[in-house]
Amino acid sequence: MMSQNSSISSSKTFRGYVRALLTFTVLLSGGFSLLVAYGYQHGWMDFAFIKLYQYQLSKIESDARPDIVFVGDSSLGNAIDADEFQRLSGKHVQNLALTGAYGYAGTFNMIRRVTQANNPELVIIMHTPDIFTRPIAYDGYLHTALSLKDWRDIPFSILVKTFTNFDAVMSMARTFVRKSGMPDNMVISNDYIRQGPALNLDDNSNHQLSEASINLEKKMFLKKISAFCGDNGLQCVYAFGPWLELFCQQSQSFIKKTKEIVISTGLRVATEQPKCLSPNELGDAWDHVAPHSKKEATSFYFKKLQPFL
Amino acid sequence: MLFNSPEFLFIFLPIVFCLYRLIPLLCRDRPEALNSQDFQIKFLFLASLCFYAYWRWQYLPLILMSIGTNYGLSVWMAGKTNQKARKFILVAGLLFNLGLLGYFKYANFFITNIQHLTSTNYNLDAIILPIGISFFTFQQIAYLVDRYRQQVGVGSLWRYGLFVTFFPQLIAGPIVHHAQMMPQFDKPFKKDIWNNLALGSTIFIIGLFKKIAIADSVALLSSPVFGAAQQGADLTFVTAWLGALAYTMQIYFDFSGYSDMAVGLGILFGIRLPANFNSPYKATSIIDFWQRWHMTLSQFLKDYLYIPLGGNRCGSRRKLINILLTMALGGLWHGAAWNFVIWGVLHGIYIALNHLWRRITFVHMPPVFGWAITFVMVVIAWVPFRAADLDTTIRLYQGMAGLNGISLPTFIQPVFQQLGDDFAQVFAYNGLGPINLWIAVTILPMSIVVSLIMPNSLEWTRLQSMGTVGRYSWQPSIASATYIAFLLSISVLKFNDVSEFLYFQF
Repeated sequence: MMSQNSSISSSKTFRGYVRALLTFTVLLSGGFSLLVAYGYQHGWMDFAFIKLYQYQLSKIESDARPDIVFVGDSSLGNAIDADEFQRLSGKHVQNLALTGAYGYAGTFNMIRRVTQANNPELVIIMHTPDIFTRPIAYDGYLHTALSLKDWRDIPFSILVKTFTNFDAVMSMARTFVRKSGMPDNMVISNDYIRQGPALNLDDNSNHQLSEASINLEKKMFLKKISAFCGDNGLQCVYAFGPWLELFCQQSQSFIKKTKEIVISTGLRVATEQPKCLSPNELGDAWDHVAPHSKKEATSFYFKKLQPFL
Repeated sequence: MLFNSPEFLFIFLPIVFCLYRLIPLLCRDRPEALNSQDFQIKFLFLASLCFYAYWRWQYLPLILMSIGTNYGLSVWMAGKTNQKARKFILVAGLLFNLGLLGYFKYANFFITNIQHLTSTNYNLDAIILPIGISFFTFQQIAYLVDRYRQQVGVGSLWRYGLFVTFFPQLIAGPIVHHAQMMPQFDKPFKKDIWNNLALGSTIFIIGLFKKIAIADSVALLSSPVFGAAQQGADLTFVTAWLGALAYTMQIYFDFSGYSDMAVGLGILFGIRLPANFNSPYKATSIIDFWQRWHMTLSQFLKDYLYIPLGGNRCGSRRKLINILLTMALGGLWHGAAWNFVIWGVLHGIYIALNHLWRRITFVHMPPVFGWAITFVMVVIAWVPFRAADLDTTIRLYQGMAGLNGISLPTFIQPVFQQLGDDFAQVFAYNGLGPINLWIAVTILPMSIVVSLIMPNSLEWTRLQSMGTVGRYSWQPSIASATYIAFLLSISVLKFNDVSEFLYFQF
């Protein structure tokens, strides 16, 4: 039978074990979280479009001083040929399109980076219309953040979720593996990511987006963009990116409502409607212009933007 | 509420545990009649009902009705000395329980099949399966049978309620016997809080890690393969086997992880739940496998189905029929679908063949051959268990048989070249992407090694004396604390991808 002393000693051992377990867990989890936060701050995360982001950053960091800057997502990247727009407008143009994964949050940070380097005459923000159905791209915001202070814009719960995420640790590991020789399969061609095969149109697909699908939280970063442009005396104009014509036809109330939302943030809208794409103008997504139609799309948007030039 | 969800781990469990441990302190100066253990039992019962209601409170009356009816029948039976009357009550209880299970779990299945056979078309609203119904119904059937056999007595309604609803085992087992639980409720709960906390949390964390880090990871490999087969893809040999192997590991780590968590939680509250797994993939025969896999279900099927059917008492042919029937019904217990029946029948055939082999040969098969045959047979049997329908099962089997080509050479070649795009494209060709590739070359082989070589969690913590792990066994030391803290940290960092346990659907 266990004596009282040995029972107390055993209890102490187990208590010590539980304490050690808790302490190490807090230390390890905290350590992981700090590492992830540090990784975000220092660009160690393996984001799917990091190569594109670095490509666009290199344009900002170059000596070029553009008069007109395009910022936005892949609908912009595939629709606007900067050289063609430059030829049409006679002004120096840069297309700094990222992707939908960066969202308005990434666009906001790109505008801030552009103005740090230079003061363009006109900033044109172009996103696909259905961006309003997507959640806020906090991850894209963290990847493009300018400093630690920017993290204050992110809800605490999102920060906790982001930094206590094992996938982030794995993401950093992938970055290091890649740096040590793993090939990167993203190819930049004609100033943007090379497209895949054209999308096959499926007649059974639903092409109707309703007002109910709009995520009103998306206003958050649009408002920030508008306020930033106002504070820095920048002329910022919003344009809807191209969209398959079936969406244009069947989602009119959605387009109207999103336009109202953009205007309510204080931004001016240059396009009443997206450029509606016929099936033969369609690239590898509903909102991607086929490479052979890029110049034509540029010309379309040039006409719409002419009053602001 | 899932054991691996933040709301369970950071809200429900700490609150219930602290209040449960506070009860004896609050009752310290109370008169003898206000026994703190009674309060603890009542509290745990109510907490367990809250746990159940969190999933869908509308089904709370159902489980309460089930408990009330079964308890009422057992009390009624206690007052009867006449065997016929006792049998009548037992039959009434069985009809009630099987009727409940039949309606909620099998009604849609039977009606669909009858419609198919008779070419009729009734409109039947889908019935939502009450979570854990298979488990709490079987537990109560066993209790009624044991009552009929006068092997167990009748306790208080609170104790009975806790026996059925004790939240660690309510949703997916282990299936507990009245005789295992009631004596624990009647004895004062162990007062050694730190001992229970250390051991219970260790086992729980191992289970959590198994589920979150291993099962959910290999699921990223099995799901696309089975999904592709369901979509009609022709899987090649390597892809099909990878999918089947990944699911073999997924279901083991998922269910044994859940069982570990249940056992660990039980220990936190001073209650020992029975072990459900004993390294089943180390089995060297299929009979051995079933003594290691879902042990509480196997025991239930043996005690309450196989033996009442006649077991091995009515000749060898009848014995084989009983085995097949028991396993087919065991398959059907998992779900109302023919796939589960096929899985059960397959295992029934395996066990029957194993018995025949033992009878007709005196040659002792070397364990390694026995293990290899058993493992491959078990992997093959998991295919219908996981597949959504018979067509998917057949497509997987076609792939595993190499009928769609064997891409082994192209698969192996790039491994020795460069772990890059070329390799990824081989997988892409097989319908898998780079993430699947990563899992296929890391987590899947590691999980196989862990399941085949390492001691299981209950062996390691010496909770189960089924094997010896000697000096490598768990000790409440700094080294163990560091190791377990590492597993917990990884699990916590993976909370963003919480997924349901596979056995919740049964």
